[in-house]
Amino acid sequence: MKSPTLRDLDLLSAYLDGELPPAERTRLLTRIESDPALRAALDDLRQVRTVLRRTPQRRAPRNFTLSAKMARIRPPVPRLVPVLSWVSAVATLLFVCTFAANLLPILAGPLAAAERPLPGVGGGYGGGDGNAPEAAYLEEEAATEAPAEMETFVMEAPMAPEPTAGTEQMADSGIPDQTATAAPAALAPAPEPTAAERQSDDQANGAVEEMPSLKEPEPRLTPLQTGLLALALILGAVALLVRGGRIWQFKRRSRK
Amino acid sequence: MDEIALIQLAQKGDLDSFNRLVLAYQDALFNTTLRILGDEDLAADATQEAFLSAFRAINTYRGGSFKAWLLRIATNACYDELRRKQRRPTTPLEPETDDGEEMESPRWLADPSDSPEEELEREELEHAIQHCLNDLPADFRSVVVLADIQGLDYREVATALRKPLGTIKSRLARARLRLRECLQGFRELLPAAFRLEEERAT
Repeated sequence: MKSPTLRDLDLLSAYLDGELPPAERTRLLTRIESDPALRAALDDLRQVRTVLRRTPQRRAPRNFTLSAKMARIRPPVPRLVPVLSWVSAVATLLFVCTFAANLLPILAGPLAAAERPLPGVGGGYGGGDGNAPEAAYLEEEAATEAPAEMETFVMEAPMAPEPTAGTEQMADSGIPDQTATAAPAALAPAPEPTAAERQSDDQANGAVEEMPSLKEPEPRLTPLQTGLLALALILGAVALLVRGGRIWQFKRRSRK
Repeated sequence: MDEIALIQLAQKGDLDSFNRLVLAYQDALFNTTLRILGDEDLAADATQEAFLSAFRAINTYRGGSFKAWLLRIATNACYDELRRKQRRPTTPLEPETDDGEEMESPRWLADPSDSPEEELEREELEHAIQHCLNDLPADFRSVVVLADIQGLDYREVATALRKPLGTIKSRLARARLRLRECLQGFRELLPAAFRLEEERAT
């Protein structure tokens, strides 16, 4: 006795429910008469259906009628919706643009400096390249020379193109601060500095303290970047206000 | 008032008319959600949610079997519940007595005409069926609940589940086959109701 296929089961089940077209029904009936396996399968399906139809029907545990309040309440806006709203999307896009625009000069800076020809003082101060001995020499020289000279060097630095390049690299690598602190340290063994020396030291220290502001160019936003940032902030604030307004509106409806 | 008139009034926003429809179909929806979810509290939540969704979407009803339309919403609510797998906190509404006092136990649901033996038999049968239904995949379960427990024809089931007729046919056949295997294990527990051998002999 060959067991019925899944296709046969589909046909038997549909036949049981009276859902077979007449032609198919006739063909199946002929097969059922001659095949005991099909007959048994049909009986099984019929019995299961009989049991399922006897499943006790429960009464609803309560009435599910809607009150006016229930019918009026609208569901809260799904949380993803404000995130995906156009205002938020534009604000995010502008923020990313502003961020990228700010990041570009920082990324391009070292590359541009590395490509710049620097005779004498190399650009890779502290970068582990071949200019390190020269940089060390400069540091030593700065420590041993008179502070007045350092002041002159500092004051002239922005004007002279070549030293500026060197000092910019120094500023970038953070070495000037070390130099500034190293200079007095190197001079420390001097027994008693005279008043004139102290004064000149103070002037030198003052100048050295000002070095970072002179050497490290503050990253300034272009007007375009500032505008984009302001726009992003405004749109972000609008998105927040809109969201807050909707929540307030929903709470107000719920209270009614 | 007939069903079509109530639907038309409900589509105009008449809540009372809609609530009459709710009273007419709440047992069918509750039983469907109960058999699909296998949990009374979840079924009650899904039924309430289904009626709320139905009221909001009543204007999308374009004729045909209103019961099938409601059952489609109820089935979707069940799928949502199954996905959520998490009960929402709800305030149980206890049934009231004739004096308006709340009854603490829902024993009022029991049919007073049943003897204790009949009631036990009924409970065992229900337990066995629900156990076997729970073992089915959700897609198969919803088909067999709508077709064999709610008595919908294939087209109505296809409408309710938004599936082609062929899919409904094959799922129903496979679900019945699997239920047959499962219910065989409960034959001794259900001597009066599960008379498969007697039916086979006739």
